[in-house]
Amino acid sequence: MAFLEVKNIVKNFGETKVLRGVSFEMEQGEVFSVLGSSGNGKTTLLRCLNFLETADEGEITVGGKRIFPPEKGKAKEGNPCTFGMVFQNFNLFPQYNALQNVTLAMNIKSQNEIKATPCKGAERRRRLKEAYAQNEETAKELLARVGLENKMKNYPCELSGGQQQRVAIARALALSPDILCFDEPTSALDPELTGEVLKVIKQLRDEGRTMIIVTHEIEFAKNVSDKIIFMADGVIEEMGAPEDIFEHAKSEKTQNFFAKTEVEQ
Amino acid sequence: MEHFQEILMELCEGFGNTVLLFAVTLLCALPLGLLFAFGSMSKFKPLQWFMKVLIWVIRGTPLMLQILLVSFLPQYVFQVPTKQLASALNLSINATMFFFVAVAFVINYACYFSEIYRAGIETIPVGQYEAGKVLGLTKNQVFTKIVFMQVVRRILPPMSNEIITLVKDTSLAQILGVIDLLNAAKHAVNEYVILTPFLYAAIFYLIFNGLLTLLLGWVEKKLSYYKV
Repeated sequence: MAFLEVKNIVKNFGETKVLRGVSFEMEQGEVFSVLGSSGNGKTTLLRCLNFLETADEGEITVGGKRIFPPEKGKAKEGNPCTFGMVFQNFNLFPQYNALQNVTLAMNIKSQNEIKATPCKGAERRRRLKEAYAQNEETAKELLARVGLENKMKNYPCELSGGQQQRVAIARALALSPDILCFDEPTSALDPELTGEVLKVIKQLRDEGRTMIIVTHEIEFAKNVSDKIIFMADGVIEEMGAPEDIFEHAKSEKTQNFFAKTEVEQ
Repeated sequence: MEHFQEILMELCEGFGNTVLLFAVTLLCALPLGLLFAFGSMSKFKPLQWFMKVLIWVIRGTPLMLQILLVSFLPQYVFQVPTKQLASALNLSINATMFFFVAVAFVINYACYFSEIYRAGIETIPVGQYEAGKVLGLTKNQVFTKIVFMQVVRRILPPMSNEIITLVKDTSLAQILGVIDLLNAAKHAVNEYVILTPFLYAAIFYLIFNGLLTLLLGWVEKKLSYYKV
């Protein structure tokens, strides 16, 4: 049984059929890139995995545990955080500095955990303080890993797009998700800033992170991925190792897509 | 400067009521307005419509009419004479009148505030909610930890406007005989047959609003440590 199993995901927005049955499997430590023209369901697929959209049909299991559809009565329990998400527009919290952006979710998680224990009063405050200090250390390490040790106290408005996206990556790593998703992480960046973000993603691959990347950076996808998923019209048109997809695409749609992007490049 | 001291004492007493009405209205209408805003954005349609109609009626009619309506309601609709209500509430008649005025003010200002809140909440990009959600925050946590402070910052300028209007609206309390600042000035004008109490009252209002403007400006500056 594969680590992540996505079975027959269907998603309609009213009359529009965005995903018409998407299935794939991936193992821990693998990196998949999802390619395809805009409007073919790439982003919607990621959003279904992250519960930002609720799929109409289908099943998702991670590590043998079914996370979608949720078991009865557990639907309201919030995101299980099996997946992390990095958005196209970063979506950092503007009122918090880089460090606070990363610690926020960790601190809330610590609060929930400590509230669930019977300890009260001074003891609870002491344990919270300890947890916050621990979270801050973790956040500092994460920010250092994305090369922002000098920008921890800066607010998002004081950072470049590339720096903001790197904070967003550190924030997504904070809860150590099993699978990290990227939704066109460099599409909102100036060309000279994409390199620093791609470098961080590559570094994460070398550390053995399981990642699904929706991107338009064909070259990057080729270099970083174990498998390429090519999507067209809401289904996986073709899927395979980069060299197979890029050099020997079987489907006509895939061939056309790469022929077009080659002309552009 | 005839009777200056007496006039000043009377005005100060009236000013006390003005400040009290201002503070009570602000303290109650700020949270109530947020509840109203949630109501008017609710997915539960009957609640949403009820709030929309309430806001339409309250904003569409004079505050003075609303004050009069509140004061007559117990007597005319529930057949409870004001005197009886006053003793039931353990209040003097004057305090009961003040209570009626405060109720009308709180509802009226909550409606105006709710529209400001709603505008603020609706300008927060959906990406902020989504980022919170994928980090495992519940809806309440997303609102309290991420959205609310951004809303406060955005709505502070229109809120300041409304708060300054509230200072001046308090003078409507005199319709039920509450001795607010302006009413006290009017009494002094009649009593001493001079116009200066009006001037003094104006100075009171100006200083109060001046201080408020400084305070709100300071808060606004404190909150603009980041750009959106």
